[in-house]
Amino acid sequence: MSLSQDELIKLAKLSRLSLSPQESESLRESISSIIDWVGQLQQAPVEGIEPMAHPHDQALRLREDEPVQLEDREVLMANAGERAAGFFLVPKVLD
Amino acid sequence: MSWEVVIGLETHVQLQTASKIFSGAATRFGQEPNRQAHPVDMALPGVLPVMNRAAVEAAIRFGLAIGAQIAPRSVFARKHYFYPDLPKSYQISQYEIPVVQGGRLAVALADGSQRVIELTRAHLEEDAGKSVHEALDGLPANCSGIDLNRAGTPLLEIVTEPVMRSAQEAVAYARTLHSLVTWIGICDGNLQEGSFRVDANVSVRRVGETVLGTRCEIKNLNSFRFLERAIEVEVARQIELIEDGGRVVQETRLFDPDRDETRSMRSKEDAQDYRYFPDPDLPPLCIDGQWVESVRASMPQLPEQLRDQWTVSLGLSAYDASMLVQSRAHADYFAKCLSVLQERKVLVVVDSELGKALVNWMMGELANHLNREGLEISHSKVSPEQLVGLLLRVQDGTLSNKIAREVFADLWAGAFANADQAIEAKGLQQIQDTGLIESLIEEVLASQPKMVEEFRAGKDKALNALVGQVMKRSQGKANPQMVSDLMRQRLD
Amino acid sequence: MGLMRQGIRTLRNALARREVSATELVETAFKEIGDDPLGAVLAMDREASLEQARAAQLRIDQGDASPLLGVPILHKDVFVTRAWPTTAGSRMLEGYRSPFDAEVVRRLDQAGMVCLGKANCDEFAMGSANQHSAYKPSRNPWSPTRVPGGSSGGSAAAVAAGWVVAATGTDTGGSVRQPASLCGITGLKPTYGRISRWGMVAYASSLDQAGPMAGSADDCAMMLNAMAGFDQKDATSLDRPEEDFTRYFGASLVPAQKHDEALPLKGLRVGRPKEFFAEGLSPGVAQPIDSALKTLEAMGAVVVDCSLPRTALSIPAYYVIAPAEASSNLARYDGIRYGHRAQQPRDLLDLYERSRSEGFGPEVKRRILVGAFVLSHGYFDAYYLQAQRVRRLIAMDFDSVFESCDFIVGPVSPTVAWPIEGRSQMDPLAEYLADIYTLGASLAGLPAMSVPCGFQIEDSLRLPVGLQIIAPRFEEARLLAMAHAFQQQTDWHKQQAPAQTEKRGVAI
Repeated sequence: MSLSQDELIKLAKLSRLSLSPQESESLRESISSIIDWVGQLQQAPVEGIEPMAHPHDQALRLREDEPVQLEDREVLMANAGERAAGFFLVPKVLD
Repeated sequence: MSWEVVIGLETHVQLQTASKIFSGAATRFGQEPNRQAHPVDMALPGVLPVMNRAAVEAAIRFGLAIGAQIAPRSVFARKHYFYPDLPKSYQISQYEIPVVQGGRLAVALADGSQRVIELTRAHLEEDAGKSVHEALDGLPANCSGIDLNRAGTPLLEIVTEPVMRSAQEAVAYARTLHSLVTWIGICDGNLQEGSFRVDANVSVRRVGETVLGTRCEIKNLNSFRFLERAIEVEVARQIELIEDGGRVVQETRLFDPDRDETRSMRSKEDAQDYRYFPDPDLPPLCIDGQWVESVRASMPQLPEQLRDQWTVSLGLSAYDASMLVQSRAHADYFAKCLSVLQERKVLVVVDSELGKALVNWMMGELANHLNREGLEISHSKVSPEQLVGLLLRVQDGTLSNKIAREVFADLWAGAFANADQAIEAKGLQQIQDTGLIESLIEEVLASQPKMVEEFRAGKDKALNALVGQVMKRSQGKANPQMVSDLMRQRLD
Repeated sequence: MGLMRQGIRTLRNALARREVSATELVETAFKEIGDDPLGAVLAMDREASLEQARAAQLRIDQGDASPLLGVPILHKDVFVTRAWPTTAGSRMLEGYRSPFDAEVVRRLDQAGMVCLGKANCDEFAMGSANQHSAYKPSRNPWSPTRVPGGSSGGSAAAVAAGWVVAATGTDTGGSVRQPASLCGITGLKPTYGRISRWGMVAYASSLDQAGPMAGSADDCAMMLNAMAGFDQKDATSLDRPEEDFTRYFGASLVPAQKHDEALPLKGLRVGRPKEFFAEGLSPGVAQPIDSALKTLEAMGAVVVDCSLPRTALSIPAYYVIAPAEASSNLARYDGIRYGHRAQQPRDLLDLYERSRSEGFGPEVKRRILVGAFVLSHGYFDAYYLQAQRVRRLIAMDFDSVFESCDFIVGPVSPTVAWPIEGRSQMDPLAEYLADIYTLGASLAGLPAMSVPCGFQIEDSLRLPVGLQIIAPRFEEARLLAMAHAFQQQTDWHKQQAPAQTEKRGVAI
């Protein structure tokens, strides 16, 4: 199926990507052909087949409720571009 | 035109675990920003979630308490949206297959009636971090600060069917739920700290209409007062809108208590596509019957069970019994009193004075002392054993109620180990000697001729004043009933 | 210096006999790497490597006999390291310094391996040619104008060039096996869950697996011994008893059968899926593969025809599931806590959109958008769920074949390494189609290897061809033993790529 420009823009917004016009067009083309091509999955004989989200039949393993010592905050936050007073900074968030 | 209100509540209950749901960071409230954020909570490259057993156990506990199904296999799903307090830009939650399904909660309404609220489900998920918007020292202007301490705190999201029909019902449900989750020990119930947060889904429809109206979600109500008010103003808003010819738009709103209105959340204009899919980092959660049974065996009796039990066995009023189960700590205190009595082989039967006295003292004198010092009953300075000992001395006539209150204060202050010691040390036995009382009466009559005149003139209150005088002369130790009876006899 | 080419055991013995020191190995390696004409390395820190070498040497001097002690290695740049930056081949993580080491790194460090730096790779492990790295393309030592394969192209190139004796890679859809095949080295993708994913920058979580890349199955097995094992920090980590993955070397691979030196694969049934030998397989690859199968037969194995009917569907299934998981795993890159951050954002939305758009390359964006599509409301059932159902069908196909076969063999890649120039503007879809033989084992979580089995001769160039061997889940030990037996019988894996010193200065 072919992806329209509007649909691409919606997907980009959903993914927090902003695309230049050239990028937009080239991506729209390649993504359309990919989506079109993977559409052949529709033809597969899957009646009665459950989706397989994990390759093995594992059960979730649980950990004990024991707090651990953390590394210093400054170490863990060292890669943040903007921080102050122990906070990560972002442009003011409006609710 | 009559309107019907339809309300469903979603409550986010922070689970009282020592560590977070997917990381080993601690969950204490009020720490300095980002000092309680593990690399997993910060979503650093390469981290992976590992599930906290205690959070699962809390969910099982809750499911059992509301008579729900515990799913033998449930799935964690990723819920995607972008917000700075959500570090992975997805929340690990449960979508199609939650851990708890169904269930019901019996709610006592103000008019004394009871409603059973059906629950849809309860599922485990992680809490997000917090944004700080006010200018703090060190925070540049036009910036918000992100604190991830709360990110990853385990939540149980509890969803009701849309079966509540008024704000009052909704609040009654919320209060009952709050009592329950604190009772079974899965939540500390601290509303100010955000341990218990309610979202209300509100819609209206004309009476007789079967289709549900468009609903609005009012988010993050963290007080019962706000919950009630928010629903009321939202209902009014929707009704007015429709009556004016408009249509309710499905949206998320916030309650503004200062303006007494709800308003649309700007950040949620577009309908969200959360793109749920099963989290590939977390295989399905399997809970076997054995685990459920072992949790069931460790559950405390639930408030309604105890309340009913005490109403029947002790003849307490519904009101009194519900006061005793207002918290687990209250119920434990009362239960301990009963077991002390049992040890002392004192029978407490239906409608017994002792039973009523226990309740009155707990809700009266004890409550006063606790409130004055801002203490929880679990930190009471008078133990169940001490209270029982005291009340037995009232029951056997050794102490009048008035003197008993003084002894209580002494016990509270730690002056004596028990009532008997106080009685011994202060010579507090109640005077029940007829002869002694009669002589005191003579003394008073002799010294209070005016009061005697007033009584003879028909003022009944003068009798109380005379009795009061005798009590004073006996330092409160005379049996007041006897004084009153003998005084009346004397004056007749 | 051919020491790096002679395998871990030889190197280890040389260290033990004091013929060479750990620090000397490091110095030599750096000299060999030079200015990295193959584009194989993204980060190097001589002092950090020497520090590790000195620590290893101390242990050697104390008589520590650990088999990997002092052996130089490169880590694919998707494994986070404290001592080196981690970029995942992306500008999004330029300069990122992780506060912790990946579990794979920690285990190999504990085993005493000496890290020489971080290997180049396709951005966020998305690619089959190592041409999608945001920093520089990687090149094939057999012909530096050709691709080394991807996404673990840098790792493969460095091992094939003899710069390191081993490297770590990751395989999501073939990213260890395919570059191993194109570069003529040995690579293993273990059973899903065998190796911890803690500290591995996530691409597609239900498919990603770390894997060793080295000159032989023997070397891969020794590395797997150190890398594999239960890790409580990874909820998908397999909790199985510890095992020695070399335990079947020189032993019978058939239970209750005595080992026959002359016919080491006697009693084994090896499936040859007809779908792996259909149209699309280039003759230059088919020929060495067929020879390899004949060799297996000469070694006693019985090669039987079999069928993996949904082989073709594995491509669309993978290219729905992997982008879906990738779109989710890459959502965290927003510049707020780490990573590229747009300058002077107008508002929060601008911060998100520009940081991400500036930080991600085109292939990554493409997969994120495809992923968003297949997960979006309205398409989820028809695409994502459908793909997961097909995935189960494919796993069932393998289970079916393994009822009557011990292993499945075939090619890794339909072609040998292709020129960088010609296909740099390649249609993405065409690139995806080349993954046809490797995706199935990824979707089913099965262990699989690429083992050198010959060359395609093109313009007097020898371009390597790899034989893929797939085993039932948890059967790495037998898989490695089979590969090892093949390598006792053949010397394809001992062939050396031309020395790179001659190629310096080649115009790119």
